Amino acid sequence: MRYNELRKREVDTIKDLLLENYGFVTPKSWMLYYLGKEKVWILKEEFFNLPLEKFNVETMGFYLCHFEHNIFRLSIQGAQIVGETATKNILDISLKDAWELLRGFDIDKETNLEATYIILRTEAGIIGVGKNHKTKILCQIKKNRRVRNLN
Amino acid sequence: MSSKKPVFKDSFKEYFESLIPGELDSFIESCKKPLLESIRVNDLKITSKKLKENLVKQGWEIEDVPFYENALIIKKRTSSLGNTLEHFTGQFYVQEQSSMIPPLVLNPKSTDTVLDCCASPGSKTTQLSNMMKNKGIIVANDMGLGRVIILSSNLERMGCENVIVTNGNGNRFSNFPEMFDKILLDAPCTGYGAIRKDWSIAKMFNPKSYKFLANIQKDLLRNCWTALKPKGEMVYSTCTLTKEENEDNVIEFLERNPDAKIENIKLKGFEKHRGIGLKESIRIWPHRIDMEGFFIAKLVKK
Repeated sequence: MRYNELRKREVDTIKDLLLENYGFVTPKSWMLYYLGKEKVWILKEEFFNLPLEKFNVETMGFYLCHFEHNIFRLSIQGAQIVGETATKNILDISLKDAWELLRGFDIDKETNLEATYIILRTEAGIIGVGKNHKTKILCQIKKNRRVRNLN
Repeated sequence: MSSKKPVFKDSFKEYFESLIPGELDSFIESCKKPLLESIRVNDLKITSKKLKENLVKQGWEIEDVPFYENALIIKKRTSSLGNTLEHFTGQFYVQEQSSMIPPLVLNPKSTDTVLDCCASPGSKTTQLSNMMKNKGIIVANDMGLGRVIILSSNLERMGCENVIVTNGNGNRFSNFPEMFDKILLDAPCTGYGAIRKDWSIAKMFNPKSYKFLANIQKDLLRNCWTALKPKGEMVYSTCTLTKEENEDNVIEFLERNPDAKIENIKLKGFEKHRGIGLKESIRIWPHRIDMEGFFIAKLVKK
């Protein structure tokens, strides 16, 4: 797995997007790296004390978001971390709606939230982000995380 | 269950009769019983008390696990364990009780650098990460690429931030001498302790298999030991019940490595569940304690 540190300009853009979209202030300790092409991960400084180049690393740290050109989409884990202190663009949804999304369906829901990807919160916790289409929330849960049946 | 009826070969019966004379029938009966369902609470996301309350509200019946405050036994549930929002959001991991013991015995600190040599699917890695409060470093390795993908997915779901996932043969860690404070070697094994989960394992009983795997385990033990720092600790565990893959391996290792000593495992409730001829270790027989069969030994580098 190749990993590359984000350029300062890219880090600043992500910080701005987190603040602008979710009112989230990026902790100073976050070290942002690309693992693969467009996936941004947060790595720990201590990781670099180890001979990573000899380890055959597959992944490390935690997956924050997908970031390319016009797309900035938080991962489920990223949404959970950001959502803890986010002040805007969080949508509370019912458990019924959450299950629809978890099964891969979109839900009908009107919202006046502005961000393209909004954080979805249920009484059982944050389940990731959905794509905001004003009258619909489009499922963004990747296939391998979806729930196939309810029994 | 993958097999409709458990088949216990004569060779299986003879082998285990020699290890537990007079207890074979109750051992075989216990192998036919399904395992108690248990979960481990991710205390980075929710407390055990709160999760219990939430699940009880949904009609579940839950009991505490006596030896671990972050574990719960599910006596009755209203949906399958994997199909709950609590599971999706990483509030718990479905994990057999005995599989929770090796990380408890290793007891990592939040400043440690830990190697989990055969980590997939990640039950113990995520437990170690929880115990370390997402601090320090865990190198979680597995040999199969497909298994590494499952491991990464579970780490993501459980919100583990301090883990480096690596892919390759665990023996290669001998190239990194004295790098780790603690090592968990949950070695690949014949899995006879997991018959309650999969009856087809009993049918596959074959002395060739456990002798072959015992050699693989010996290599892993030797090579991982090189990667352990002086004063470091290693937990060796398997989910099998043959003496060759467990006590014999550890005894031979101690004989060949004068810098190794075995430490007596102190865990409440397991004082009487001890290894054969190796009283410092834990051996879980499913007919003596209602869990999956397991073996755990703790080694310390002088």
